[in-house]
Amino acid sequence: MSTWHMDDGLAVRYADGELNPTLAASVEAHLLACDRCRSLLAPRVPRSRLDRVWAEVADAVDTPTPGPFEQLLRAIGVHDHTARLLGATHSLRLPWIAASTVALLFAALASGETTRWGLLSYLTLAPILPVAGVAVAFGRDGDPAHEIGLAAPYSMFRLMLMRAAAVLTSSSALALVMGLGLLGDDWTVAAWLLPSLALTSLTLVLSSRFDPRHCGAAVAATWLVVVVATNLREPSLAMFGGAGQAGYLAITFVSGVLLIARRREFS
Amino acid sequence: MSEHESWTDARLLEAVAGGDRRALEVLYARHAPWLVIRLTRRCADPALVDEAVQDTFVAVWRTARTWKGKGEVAAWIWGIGIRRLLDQLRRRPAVPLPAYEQVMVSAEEQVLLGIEYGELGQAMGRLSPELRAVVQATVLDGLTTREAGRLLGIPAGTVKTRMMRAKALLREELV
Repeated sequence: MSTWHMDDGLAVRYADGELNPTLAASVEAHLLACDRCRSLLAPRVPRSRLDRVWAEVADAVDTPTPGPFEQLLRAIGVHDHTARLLGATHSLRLPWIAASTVALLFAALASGETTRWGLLSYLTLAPILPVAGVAVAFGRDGDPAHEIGLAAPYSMFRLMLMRAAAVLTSSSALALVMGLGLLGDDWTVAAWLLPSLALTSLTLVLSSRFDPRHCGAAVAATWLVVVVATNLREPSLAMFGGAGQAGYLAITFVSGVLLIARRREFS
Repeated sequence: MSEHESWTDARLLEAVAGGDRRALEVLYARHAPWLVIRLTRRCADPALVDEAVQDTFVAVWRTARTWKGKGEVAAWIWGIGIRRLLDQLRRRPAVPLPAYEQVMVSAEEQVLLGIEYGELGQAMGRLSPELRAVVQATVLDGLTTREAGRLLGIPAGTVKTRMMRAKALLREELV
């Protein structure tokens, strides 16, 4: 460290740009290494200017960086506020999606080993995933922004539908890709699609009266019981046949109508 | 007032890397004034300088963990600051550059202090402003040929030829 330092006069002349070039160069090189001389310059910049720039820095620093999912949504043209609302959903976060992927992967691998039991387990599991995802996507316990949402001038019904649609889309895409990739392109790999729509819409209708988590658990449990009951003797895909699919379509339709009729109860 | 005020720059920067916002505020209070003044000597438009200073401290917040812990924190901040100013200038190429008239010679403080009234100082004084500006941007500000060209508004090739000419002239003067 040198013993050379600026005095106040030199600091003023440097700040005002009045130093000759060589001396200014000396000052600048010295400033990089000398805290004391740097502090001499502090009064030479208006306080208000520094405060204004700091306010901008603080703004930029305090703005949370959106997660990868939210950035993806924004990139494909979703409005910022919608992306934020969807991004807050647990079941659209990476851990949830990763867990769903693993569950489906095991089921799909199982169906590669044994023929019909395996396929059955895949078809049973695939509709439960969106039900679970939707059940934790809103409501008092599932939604981290629930209280804010209640106070916000935003339709809870719309928010719920939007999240349910996003969850359904992401988990269906996952199951479809997994099914086509690992199980071949037989029609049965998509046989879970209508059941998952039916179960999800049923969960939504029940949520107008009860806690969404309980509704999801009840619907999933019922689904499991029915599947087990129809397969006690030997594996059968009866539940995924033509009659069954028509039934799921009917459930979906009725649930949709009920949902619209009861939409006020969500607010 | 908090204990942060008494910390060294290096310690503050470590705290910033750990997400300590108060540490960033203290760093800003220490380093923003000289950065504003030094950048103002490179670019006379205060709006651009403010933007560059703002970008610099946001970058300090985001990249504090990349600091190696060696050398002066001020030098690290300057390296970010001058490049953020270049980014600003590139974004608004219509802004005419003020003359880059101050001469800078060497990064070594002691050398610089010795040359002011010495032979090198006089030799530098005899260079044309264009040649001096190139010496300043590349030697003292630590910019690459291309970055210096952007700051001065001339092609990189011109920076190289002017630097060669400046070196030749200084050699003639000093030998």
